[in-house]
Amino acid sequence: MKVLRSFGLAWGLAAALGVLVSRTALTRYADRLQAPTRMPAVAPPTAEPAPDPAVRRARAVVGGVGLLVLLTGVWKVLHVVQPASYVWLLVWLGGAVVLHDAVLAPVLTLLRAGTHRGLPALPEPAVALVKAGFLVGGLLVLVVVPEIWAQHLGPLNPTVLPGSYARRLLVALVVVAAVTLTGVAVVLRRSRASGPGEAPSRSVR
Amino acid sequence: MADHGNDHGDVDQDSTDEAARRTATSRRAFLGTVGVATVGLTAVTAGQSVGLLHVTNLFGPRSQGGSPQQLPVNRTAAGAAVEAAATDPAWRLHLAGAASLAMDRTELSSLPQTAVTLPVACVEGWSVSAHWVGVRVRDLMAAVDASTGARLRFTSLEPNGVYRISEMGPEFAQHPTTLVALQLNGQTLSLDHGYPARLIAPGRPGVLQTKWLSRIEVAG
Repeated sequence: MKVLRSFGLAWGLAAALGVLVSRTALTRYADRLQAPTRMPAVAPPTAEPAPDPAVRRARAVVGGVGLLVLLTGVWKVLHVVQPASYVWLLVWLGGAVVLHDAVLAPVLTLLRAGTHRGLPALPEPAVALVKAGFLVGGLLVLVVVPEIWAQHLGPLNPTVLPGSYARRLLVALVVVAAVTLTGVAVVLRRSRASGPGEAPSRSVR
Repeated sequence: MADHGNDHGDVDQDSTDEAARRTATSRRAFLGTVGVATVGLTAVTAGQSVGLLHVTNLFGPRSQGGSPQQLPVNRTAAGAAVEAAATDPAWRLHLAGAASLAMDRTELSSLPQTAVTLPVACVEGWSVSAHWVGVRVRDLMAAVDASTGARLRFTSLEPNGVYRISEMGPEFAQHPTTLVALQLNGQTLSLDHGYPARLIAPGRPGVLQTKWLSRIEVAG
């Protein structure tokens, strides 16, 4: 048990160090890649002035506190979680990264790409409404999909997950979309009524 | 593009900036969106714990209305394999202090009863308040000459399970709202809620509100 815990702590420290080092290295590499294309456009980017010693000290203190909190968290987790479940802890933590990078980020990128051209044609309040609609709908999906999945696996007893969540989610998404579209329609009508001043000249599909 | 000199490049740059500005989120829009999302999500889930919001509880994983005696269940009598033992007419609650006693439900019911409103607050995230009637633990333990400073151990009929046994310090045991409950929301405690008798105490997670009590003793 003790050995496993020390191993887990060492692993956590090594991973944190690895993340910090690789991040710095990647940033440097990206800077080098970007440098030649940036150069001819404008004057060479001026380097950030070296921070004041006081600022540097404050940063060190804040960073140190952060590191301590991080270590306390790792230490606590390793004590709360049974050593036999460390693998599952890793799967769970890694799963969050995989879900974010492999599912959430691509979906959001596609969404942005899809709406990139159409959105700027709308007046600003309408853009804000569309974004709010996507955010509320997306959050709903994030909250409810795990429930539908757990329901599919079979709840422990009838008082766990008693609702028809899939149907409710669909209805809720339709309602969110309807409210968003109504809002957009109202904004568009108002901006048209008040003349072409604010609204862009391009017509909206 | 690059051959055409700077004019085109600048125009493109400007229109891109313009597009970026138009699609950027203003502080007001951001705060408004986060506000609506927070209020909205709370409204459709908090009903699992807050009675007032029960009507809008679309996505809470628990619901008061659909549960037996308006209280959700985590571990059923069937799941805990206590159905036979809990309905056995020979059931007695065993009390052990300096002396010891065994009481059936009728004897427990004939003792002075106390009514309390306490929640079952589950570490899974739901918390539902209920109305309980039963006998004060401190009265029961006084009857077997347990010291008022004693730490108590509660044992369930469950043959196994992580929470078959729970313990509480005297600060809980001596509290006037800590009961061996016999009734829940105006009815006899149902089997899934711990019939024939269960523990209910303030300020403790649901898993420590031991159901299907078999024995209360002074912890060694």
